[in-house]
Amino acid sequence: MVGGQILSVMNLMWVIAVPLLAALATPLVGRVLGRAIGWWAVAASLVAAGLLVSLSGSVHSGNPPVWSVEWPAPDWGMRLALYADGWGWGFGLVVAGIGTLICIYAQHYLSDAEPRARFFMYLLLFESAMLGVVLSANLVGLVIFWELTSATSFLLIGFWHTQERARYGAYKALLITGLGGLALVAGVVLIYLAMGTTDIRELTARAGEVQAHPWFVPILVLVLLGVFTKSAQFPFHFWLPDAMTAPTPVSAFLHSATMVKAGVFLLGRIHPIFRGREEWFWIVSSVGMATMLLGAYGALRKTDLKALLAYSTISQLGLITLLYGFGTQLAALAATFHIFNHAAFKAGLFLTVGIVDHETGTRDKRVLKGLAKLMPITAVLCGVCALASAGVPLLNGFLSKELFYEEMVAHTGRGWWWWWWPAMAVGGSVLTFVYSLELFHGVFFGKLDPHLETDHGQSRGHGQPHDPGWGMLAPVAILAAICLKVGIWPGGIERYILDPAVAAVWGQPVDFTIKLWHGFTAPLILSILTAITGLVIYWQRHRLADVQTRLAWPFGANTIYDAALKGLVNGTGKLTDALQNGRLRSYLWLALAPVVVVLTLILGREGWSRIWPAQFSPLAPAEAVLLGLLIVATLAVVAVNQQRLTAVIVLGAVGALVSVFYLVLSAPDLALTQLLIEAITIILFLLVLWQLPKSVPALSTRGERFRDALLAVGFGVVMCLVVLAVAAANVPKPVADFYEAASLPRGGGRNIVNVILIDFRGFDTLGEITVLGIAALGALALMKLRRRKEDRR
Amino acid sequence: MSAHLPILPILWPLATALVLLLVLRRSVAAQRAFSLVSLLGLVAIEVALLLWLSGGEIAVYRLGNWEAPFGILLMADRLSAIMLLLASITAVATLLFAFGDLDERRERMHFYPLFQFLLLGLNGAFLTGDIFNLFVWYEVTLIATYALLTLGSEARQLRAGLPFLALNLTGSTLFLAAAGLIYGATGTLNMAHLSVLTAAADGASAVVVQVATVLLLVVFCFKAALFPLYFWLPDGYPAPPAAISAFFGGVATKVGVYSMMRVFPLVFPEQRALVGEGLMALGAVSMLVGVWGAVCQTEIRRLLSFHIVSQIGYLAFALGLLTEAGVAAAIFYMIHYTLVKCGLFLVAGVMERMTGQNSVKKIGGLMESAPALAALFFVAGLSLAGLPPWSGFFAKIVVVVAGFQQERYLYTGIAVLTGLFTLFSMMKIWHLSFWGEPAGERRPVPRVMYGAVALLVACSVIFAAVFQPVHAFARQTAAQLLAPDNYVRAVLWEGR
Amino acid sequence: MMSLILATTARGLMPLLLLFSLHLLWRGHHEPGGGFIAGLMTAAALVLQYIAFNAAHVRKCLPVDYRVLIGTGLACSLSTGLMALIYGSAFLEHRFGHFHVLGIGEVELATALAFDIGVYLTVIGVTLLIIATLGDESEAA
Repeated sequence: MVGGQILSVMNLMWVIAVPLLAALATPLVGRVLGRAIGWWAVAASLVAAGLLVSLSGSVHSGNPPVWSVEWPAPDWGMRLALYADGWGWGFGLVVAGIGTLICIYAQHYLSDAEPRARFFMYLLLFESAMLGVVLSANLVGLVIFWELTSATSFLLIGFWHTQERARYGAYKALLITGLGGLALVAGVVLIYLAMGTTDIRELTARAGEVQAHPWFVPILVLVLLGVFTKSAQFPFHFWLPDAMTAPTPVSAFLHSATMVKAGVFLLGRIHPIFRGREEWFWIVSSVGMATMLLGAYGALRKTDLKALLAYSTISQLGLITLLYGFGTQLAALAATFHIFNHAAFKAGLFLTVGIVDHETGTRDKRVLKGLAKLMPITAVLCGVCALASAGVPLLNGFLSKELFYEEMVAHTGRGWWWWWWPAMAVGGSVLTFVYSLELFHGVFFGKLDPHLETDHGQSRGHGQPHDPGWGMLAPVAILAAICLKVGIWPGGIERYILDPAVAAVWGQPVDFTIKLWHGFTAPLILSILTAITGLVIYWQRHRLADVQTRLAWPFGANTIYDAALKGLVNGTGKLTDALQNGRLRSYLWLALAPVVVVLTLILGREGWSRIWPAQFSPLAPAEAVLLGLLIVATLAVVAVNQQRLTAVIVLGAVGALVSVFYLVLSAPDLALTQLLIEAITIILFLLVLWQLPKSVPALSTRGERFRDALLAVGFGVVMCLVVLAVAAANVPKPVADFYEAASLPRGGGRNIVNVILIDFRGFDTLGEITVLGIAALGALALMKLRRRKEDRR
Repeated sequence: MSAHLPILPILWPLATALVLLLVLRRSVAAQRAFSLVSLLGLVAIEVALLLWLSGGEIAVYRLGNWEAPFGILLMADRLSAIMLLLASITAVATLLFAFGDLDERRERMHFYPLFQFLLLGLNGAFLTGDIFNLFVWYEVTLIATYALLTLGSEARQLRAGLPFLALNLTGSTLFLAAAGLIYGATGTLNMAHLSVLTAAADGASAVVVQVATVLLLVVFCFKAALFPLYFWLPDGYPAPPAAISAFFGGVATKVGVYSMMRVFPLVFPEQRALVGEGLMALGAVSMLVGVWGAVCQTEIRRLLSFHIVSQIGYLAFALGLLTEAGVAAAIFYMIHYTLVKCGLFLVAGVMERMTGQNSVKKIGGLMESAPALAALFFVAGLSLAGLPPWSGFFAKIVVVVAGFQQERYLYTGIAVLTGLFTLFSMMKIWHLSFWGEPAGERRPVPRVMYGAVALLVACSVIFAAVFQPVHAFARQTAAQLLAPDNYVRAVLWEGR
Repeated sequence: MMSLILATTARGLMPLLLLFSLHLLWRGHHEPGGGFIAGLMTAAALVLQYIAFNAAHVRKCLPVDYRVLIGTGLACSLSTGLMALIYGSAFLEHRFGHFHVLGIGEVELATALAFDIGVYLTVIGVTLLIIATLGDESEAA
């Protein structure tokens, strides 16, 4: 038994590791296998699925296998932990199962010119990330895998990256799901801070605490932002249709079992933690409702079959979201059941559309008609999946739709306005019914366009469209068979997948049976109503199209998105140009003006009273004269600065006056140094100015000069006050006293300045002479390299 | 020898520079080899230092054997050791890249000694325990940076050099003024000694201490390139060859952040509120202004340069929280982003070398012709944008946790949102240059350049893999930094 | 530029200025002076030669590569500091002592002087390198 345990524990990790390792090995394996590399991916997916199947025993016994690794930060409760409860396990099985079918299909779908190994590498990476999402036992791990699905789906959607549309779609998907990912990260951090854990089972057990926390609403909103962006819920639904630019197998995978399903998966995951709160119900159900209607309505407006399917996915996800919002046991059952059903028929539909596209070279529903004559098997398979989507009896979609109606009707007892929900549910289902018929009846029946039969200008040169080989049909056939099997005899799946999944989503085991016939009840009446209305509308679909054209709303989410991106780039461009304008004056102003303001505030608040009580020694006459001269000379520099030579010479005079100051303050060393430096600097200046025009043109306006003067004066005044404050402070100077005392006995010199420079602070001097050396080397390079360049010209 | 370990990271590059300048002046090949060998030696020294100090010891090295606070002293702790090692690892990658990237006339015009001088300045700044000595190392760094920035004397370099020099010299002037004020108000320049004296300052000297705090904040923000003191950076950093701008982008601005970490908790323990609020506000604005600047760029290295401002904003925000978690987050973020940012600059260098273009709009389809480069960029770009499982994700998490812990919702929200803009701009490079129809030429790129990029990306990946121990270490480092008493004890009592 | 009076004066002043600068260097530890001032003084003397004659003449006066001069100066100061390591003391610890030299009398020797010589050489090298670089430029123009 223990051995079995270990095996199953290992298996859980391998479910993710196998596709991941297989993906990493793909570039190498691809060299060996060549164009057969798809089978490598099939094998990897099959192994993952098989491993999950092998775990079914412990899942069903209510003892979910777990696996965890002390990474990245167990101290924080951040660890990569996996567990396969009913929900994760069932979902994982669907991911790996459909993944296998998709790989088989893609192996036959891709043309030889395409970089196959890369395709399958991306696909396996994505599959591995998705399996990680569903098996994570810890929200941090879930977020990591979640973001990985965003990144890898970006690569998949943009697989045909030379097409502008593909790049656009991939970018959009990444940005929107990235936005949600960030919100999710913030939400998870809040959960961690609020609860001290990110372990999903622990959070489920402490659901009451979570709901009572003051941060509950922010947490809910942030997490739901993640869910809604990922699952393309209104108002973030618009990325999904553009993601259709991916190769069709990818679309089929992304829209049936993965990516967008990650959102509703998470909804199911957090369902037992969050359900029951009013906010949960209103936000989740309203958004779901809006999305369901908007998606179904949008689907009818599309002429591209893939776009139609994209909108239908949005709509179906809306339905699932809506149900989870209700937070009842029946709703949880209906939603969970519908997720699995949708996965099967939606993958099937995408793959059939892929076949049609592959064979005819077009996906335009206006052109595609009567294909049943040419592709009978495809027609049958498409029929099964489309009717399942429409909710026709004997197919799986019917069963979950019945449960959906049952749940909607169940609340009408609360008041007449609760009829709103079933009414809208029927409305959405009618539209679903219509577009499903368009997919099946519209494409495969009616008069075959002779253009399609004879001319293959747009097709990929397979000759006349016909049913494809088994490699592309078999995956669809399997999916269609599942739809039928569940629809007619729902007993098996109920026990195997649905039972543990619903128990996990609800939080405890749920007792239910799904029956095809359960009497002449309200849901059945609604179903019949849906079908009849749907048929009528389908019959009159040209009128519907007219209405839709008239109602067409020019201001869609896409327009807003495009405008926002354009606005972002333009707006930031303007802002950046304004700030980063290349003008030193503006840079200095922005840098220094705030400093003056802040310092003025500090001085103003408490400065005066602390500076002025101090007694400053009076100014000696000689000092006053010197000071006056210094001020005059400095002003002169400003006045003559347009005459370069004069300015430099006056600047020299300022320096000389400063050195006189040093003499007066009895610092002959400093005076001499200052004087020598002035002399040498002036010579350097002259050498440079030698080559420049004698005068500088006025580069500033009067207003600018005034502003600059204001800043300069302000800064000067502030600094002056601060220096007065230093004088007023008059603190003891232990270090200076030490230098005076230790200079001769311990430094061996009577010249304290020199002992400081060489000994006490000799390290500074070493640094400073290094600065000089570097400056000289820099100057040399500056001049030499420039000249050599001129020579070359 | 271990007694002298703290000063070796300063003496080593200085001696190396002098050997390069005096002995190996004539042979570029010898300069390359010696630079690399010396740098590896430096890495070894710094690893030893890190191991020594990781226990929490504060190493004090008294220059000229003068007792504190009278002489200058070096003060090495965990943070110094981290910064030193980070700088030299980045330097190794940069140097390798430079072997392939630089033209010979630049190499002959003292690139290698100047590079060592820059390291000298940085290492000095990371080790000193004296405010004025810090100023000296700032000067060494500044002048070496300027020399490297303009090395080659291309028109663009000269144009960018002016605002760079003017603004940084303004910063230096303010630093000098601040150092003077601090000395005037307290009578000392030793950081640990100041810790005691500024806390006790009253009357006029208390005002001066506050003013000096603000001035130093401005100085460090200048150096770190925070809003509104960053203008020199986006013009300056893209101008020199990629190897040089990569090192600047990775390490040079960090010296400002390091100084904030070192100086504010220690030297001005009583000014926390002032400094913290200032840093957080400036950080938040920098995050947005920086990333917005990046969003609208098309020139790759200029785009990356704007990102520096944004990332420094993250650091400033986390640091401004002045909690253990916040400072630890800042340290962690800094390590992550040094490696990744330098790596991205080097990727940009390879792209430019390969295609002869520097604008994303003129490059296209690199994924087909350079898949390895594409993979490296993808990892580094997503890491910068904070996507898992790369280092940026964890770095972002720790910042967000620290921010929410202090209930700074607005600033933390801005930090989160900045991630989206970062993603936008990174994927813009991907979307325009790696995807699409091939555009731009394809020239051969020396392998060593790829190696340099791979080295940094590998470091960043490993760094993410060891998140917990590194973060625990950052946490200990932060705790150490926020307890100034330890330094006072080590310097003033044990150091005597 | 070539003025006879200036040239003669420059030529005449040169040894005086050099001697004075060496004096400043030597006495710096006790009296006003030191490596930095002395270096500037020497540089000023050489700059005077440059003004009176040209860059080539200055090179003739001091026929070394100025970069080597800078490097040597830095190396001198650095190695003075390193000396202390050999004694097992801290970097940059200075020592001084009084020695009796035959015929001169009591002479004080300090490692500080060696450090100062490094400063002196660096300052000269730097000034001359910059002047020569700029000078070449203006002569070429």
